[in-house]
Order: sequence, then C-alpha cells, then structure tokens
Amino acid sequence: MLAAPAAAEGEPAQEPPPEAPAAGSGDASPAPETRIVRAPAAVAPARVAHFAFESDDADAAFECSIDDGPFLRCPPRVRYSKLNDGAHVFRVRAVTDVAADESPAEHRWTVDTRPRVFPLSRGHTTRWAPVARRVVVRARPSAAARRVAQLETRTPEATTNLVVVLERTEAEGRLWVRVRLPILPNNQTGWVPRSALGGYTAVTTRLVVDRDRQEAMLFRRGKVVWRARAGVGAPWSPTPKGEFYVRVRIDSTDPFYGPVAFGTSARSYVRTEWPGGGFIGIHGTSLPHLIPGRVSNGCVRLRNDDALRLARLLPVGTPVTIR
Amino acid sequence: MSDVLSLEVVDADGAIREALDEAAADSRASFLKKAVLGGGAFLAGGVMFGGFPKLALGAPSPAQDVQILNFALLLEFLEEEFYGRAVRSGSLSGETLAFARVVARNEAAHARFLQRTLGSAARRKPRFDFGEATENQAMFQAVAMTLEDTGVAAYNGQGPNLTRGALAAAGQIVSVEARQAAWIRNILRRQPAPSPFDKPLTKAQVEARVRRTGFIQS
Amino acid sequence: MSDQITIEAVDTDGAVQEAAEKVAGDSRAAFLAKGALFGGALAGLGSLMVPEEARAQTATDVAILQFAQTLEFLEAEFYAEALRMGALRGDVLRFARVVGEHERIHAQFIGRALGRAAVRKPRFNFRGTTENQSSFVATAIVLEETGVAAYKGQAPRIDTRSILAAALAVHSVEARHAGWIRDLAGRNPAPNAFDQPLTLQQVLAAVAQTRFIAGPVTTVAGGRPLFTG
Repeated sequence: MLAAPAAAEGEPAQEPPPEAPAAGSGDASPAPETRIVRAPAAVAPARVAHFAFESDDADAAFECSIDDGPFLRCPPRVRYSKLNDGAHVFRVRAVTDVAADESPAEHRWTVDTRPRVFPLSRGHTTRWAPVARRVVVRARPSAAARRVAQLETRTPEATTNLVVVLERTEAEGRLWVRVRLPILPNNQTGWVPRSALGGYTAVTTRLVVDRDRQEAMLFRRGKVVWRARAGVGAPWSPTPKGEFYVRVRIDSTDPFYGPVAFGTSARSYVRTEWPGGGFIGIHGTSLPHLIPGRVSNGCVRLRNDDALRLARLLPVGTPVTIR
Repeated sequence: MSDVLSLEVVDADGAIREALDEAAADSRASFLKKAVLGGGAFLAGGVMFGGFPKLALGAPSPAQDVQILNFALLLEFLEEEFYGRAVRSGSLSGETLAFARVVARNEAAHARFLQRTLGSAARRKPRFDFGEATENQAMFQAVAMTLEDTGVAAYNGQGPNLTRGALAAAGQIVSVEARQAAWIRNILRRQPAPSPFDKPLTKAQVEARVRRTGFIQS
Repeated sequence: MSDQITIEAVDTDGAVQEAAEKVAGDSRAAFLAKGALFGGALAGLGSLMVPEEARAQTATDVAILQFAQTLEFLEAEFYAEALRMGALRGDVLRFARVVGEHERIHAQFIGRALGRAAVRKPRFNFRGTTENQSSFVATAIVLEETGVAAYKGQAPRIDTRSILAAALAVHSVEARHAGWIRDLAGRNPAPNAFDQPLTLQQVLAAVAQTRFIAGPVTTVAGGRPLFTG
C-alpha cells in the first residue's frame, strides 16, 4: 500500500495555491453556459431562420452574431430574414455583469430555396398523363413565366392528347409538372399546372431507334424484348434525333403505312406543311424491300410482321429515343 | 380540398340526441323487431371457418337481441366506469388524459343508449374494482388498449347474430370503439390497425378476458 | 403478392377440417380441394386470422360487394400512388404503407368473394392529392370516413352470414384507419359517440364529388394515318 508522500520533514504539508479568481469576480463563480434550443434544419428551404437559446445562469443576457458579424445584444429568441442561399453560421453567448461565455454556442446551416422537384419518370419507369383541359405551357413553374406552347386535349387523330410527365414541383401554391412537348423545335419541355392533366400511367418500356444502324429495339425494364431492321428518314427528310414518346396507335387502313402505325411526339423539320402537323410515325410498309435504308419522309418504317409483333408489346406513352 | 365532400362531424351531443330520440320513438319491442333478417339466408347450422371462432347459433330474434345487447351493456358499463374513474383520479396527463376524457364521454353515451333501448330488461350495473389501473397512467394505457380491442372483437362477434335494427345500432358503436382503439395504440406507439381484418371473438372468449381482469366485483 | 396459406398451416386444432364438413352446398372434398385459404401478404402481421373465402350468393350481396370492391380499389390505388409520388414523410408515410396494404388485401378478398362478378379496377386521377402531404392527409380522412360509413350503411342489408362477418371485420379496420389518420392530422379521432351510416347513393355521390374515377382515355384510332411516312 502506497502511503501518501510524507511532507518533507519539518515542513508543513503544502496546500495548492488558491485558484486565481475569474477576472473581476470576488467569489470565483464560473462564466455562464449557453445552449441553443431552437434552430433551423441543417438544410432549410426558407430565407427566414428562428433561434431560441438559454443559459444556466438565470440572470444572463445574450449576445448574437450572424455570419461572423459582431456580437450584439439580443433577446432569448431571434429571427433573421432575407437570408441568401448558401452556408450560414449563428453564434450566441450568454453574458452576466461579470463574465461572458467564452465558448459561444454555434449553429451552422445551409439555406437552399431552389424549388424541389420530384422525378415522375426515372430509370426504366416513364409516366404519362392525358391532357384534361387546354392549357398554356410555361418555361418555368410560374403563371408569369414565358409561354412556350399550348396543349390541346385531342390529337389530330381525335384521340386523347397525352404527354410524358418528367418531374413535379410546388410553386405559387400549386403543383406543377414538367412535360415533354409534341412541338417544334423538337425536344422541348415545359411546365403545366398538375390540374391540367389527368391520372398518371406508368410504363417500363422504351423504344430506341438507331438511325446509323437502321435498327429499332424495344426494351422492357432494360431488357430487349423486340428488335427489327428499320427504314429511317432520307437525307432530305431526316428522322429527328432526341427524346420523344408514343402518342397514338392507328389500326391502319392505308397499306402505305402497313397494318399498324404509331404516332410519336416527334415532328419533321422539313415536312412542316404536312396535314396533321408532320408527325413522325413508326409503322409498317407496302415497300419492305427498302428496309433497311434511309428511305422515308422521316418515319421509322418496319416490315409488317415486325410492326405487328411490336404492336403487341408497345403501350402508348412509351418513351422513344432516336439516335 | 373544397370540392371534396367533407364527412365532418355531426356534433357529439347532436348524435347522442338523435340516437336517444330514435330509441324513444319506438317502443323497445318494435325497435328490436325491425326488419328481421330474411329466412333462408343463413348457411345451415351456424358456421365456423378459417380461424374465425364458432359464432352463436340460432337465427336472430328480438329475444336474442336483448341477451346480446345486455352483454354489450356490461362492457359499456365497465368502460364507462373505468374511464370515468381514471379521469377523476388525476393520474393521467397529456394526450392520454385527452383520450380518456373523450372516451369516457363516448362510453357513457353508449351505456345510456343501451340502457334506454333495453328499458326494464336492462341489466343492472355491477360493482367494479379497477385497482391501480385507474390510478397509474401506464397501467391505464395498457388496460384501455385491451378494452377497446376486446370491445371491437365482441361487437364483431355478435353482429351477425343481431336483427337488422340492432345490427345497425351496434354498427354505430363498434366503429367508435375501433377509433378509440387506434388512438390509444398510437399513443402507445403500437400499430393502430394491426391486421387488415379485425378478428371477432365469441361471447365466451370475451367473458373469459373480462373475468381475467378481475374488475367485476358483483 | 399472393402467398397462400394452406389449411394445414393454420388449422392447428382441426377447426377448419370440421367446418369443411358442415359447409352448405359444398362437399368436403370440394372444399378441401379449393386448397389454400386466402392468405395474401399477411406473414409478419400480428394476428393472422382472416375470414373464410366467402362467396356472394344473392343479388343483393353481389351488388354490395361490387360497390365495396370499387371503394377498396379507390383507396388502395390512392395509397399506392401516394407511396410512389414521394411526398410523404414520417408517421404519415408509415400510415400510407400499412393502410395501403390493408386496402389492397380488402380489394383482393372481395374480388375472390365475387368470382366472375368481380369489378375491374377503374382508371383514377387523384388530381395531385397524392403529391403533397397535407392534401394527402385531408383526402385520406375523407376516404376512410366514407369507407366506414359505407360499410356501416350496407351491413344490415347483407344476406349471407359469412359475408356479413367479413364486412364487419373490414368495417372496424376502416374505422381504425380513420382514427389513426385523424390523430396524425391533429384532430379528435373519435369526435362522436355514434358514427353515422351513409346510403349507397350518398356514398356514390361522395365518390363522384372527388372526381377521382377518371373518364375514358382513347389512345387508338382507325383509318388513314397522317404521319409523314
């Protein structure tokens, strides 16, 4: 057993010197602690931030600093507004007559007021919706944004007009949806109020047309379920490149188009005077010997048996990628 | 959602007044005689299937309604007393206290309704001893959950044995018990709706559960 | 999701075997030959008791069940879409998952009770109520309250005892749903001592007022295509 070290003989046991008192205090009371009890989330979508804080010393007052600014007297609850997007830091310290908290409480957060969008079509899933009422399409989800187009409720074939829905956001107190547009120039999208559209339908198919290889493939959940050689647009009336969708199916009575024809949202750049708007179709043919080849007015032509096989597998609304 | 029909509530007192008026307007006998279920509609012999226990035998009748509604009245008396005493004990707080107040009022209304419906055939109210269950919040919560779940199962078990009129009345009560069951389960962070189908219990099974609590003294 | 539970798995005390002998209009062999009791995706849920595969036998029962199946489809699709639309969080998301599965099971069970008289699932347009949490909560309250009142109104009209037993078992669960979502919405889960029934007409009117059941969408035409060729 170890004994406590004996005092050196003849000397009284040393006592530790008294602690130096805190500056200005007569009785060595410690500095107050500060604790933040309310603060915004780490990423907040608002330009206003509320803070509330407390101290273990009931007599303490508080000093606050925002974004590395000076510490200024503040009440136990504060509100900052007009904060810009980006990182911010809030600090607060309790102060008494005699001392200040030397390690202020701190809260770091980010303001991000960009509209949050939720994808409605992603990966293998594409959603479409019917156009329920004639509606103006806007460049941004705002009634004041630039007008891009107008959507009608019917197609030239008198079927229900439909659009692929890409993403959703909330703005100006309502839901908006960004949709793929069947207009020229090709490959445009724009925003409409959700209320202008009907119910959503999802598909997991995708049709891919390769103009260089003159070939078309249908994918379902990423796997090829149909494939065929195709005739594509001639150089003077090319099949446009980009992202489109199947909008209508015609059980065709015209052998030039074969027994079945699908209308897409793609438009010919050159056949703009075409009756019905010059839409690109995917259909059979009375001239199968031209397939494969660059032979059409823009449409994707298939041999009739390939077209019929496709028709059993291709739902309306399927996205069409033409490359 | 201004263009969606709101099924929001008839005020609570209004609903009770309505139910009592309806019972008073008919004599007890004619109320219970209303629209007896048509003859050959039952599967022969009373049936038991796939996990559901044997339901009471015998076609619905006013006399059987009296027995069943008296059984329901016993449960409502028990709940009325349990919740009333728990509220008065001062041992409840927060959402549990709010729950107990609402449910005490509802169960009292159920008991009054059944008493009036049964008139002189109504059973007398037993004496109850709830022990700590009305004095301790945690115990109260556990017992309340059991009582509400049992009440739902009891009404569902007896429902097919009732005449149409009594079934309609019981239907107005059982859904309230189910709401209350979901509420206390939520307070307890349990599944408010643990199954897609609420399993019925027989009279014997309910009586056994009630006996096990030891609450009924007489 | 149609894992079926066989009779052996649940019939621990021979009760079902015994009942099979009593089933009116059905030979024991035929009953057992039907094999699996409806189980659905219930593994993991607390009590595994489900109603027997009841069959609607009278015209009244068929009409009531067809009406109920449409309501269950409406609810099931509402919740399923809400889960896909990614706008729900926390307790409300948990509610949608559990209750959506219940409604799907209800629709499936009623479909089996109807056999060839089962209704087709309609096309729906939920008009954004699945895409925003507060719209979702308000709509879920209306749908659950309508469901409770609908079953309550129809139960006294049901002819077949086993169908009535099943309807009561669903009715009280819809009431649990209603109490739950009201609690999540900060409202009194059980504001009345007595819940009111709605008639068939009243429920149909309530559903029509939502405009959730969508009109037809025509995507096929005949004739001469107009494409560029």
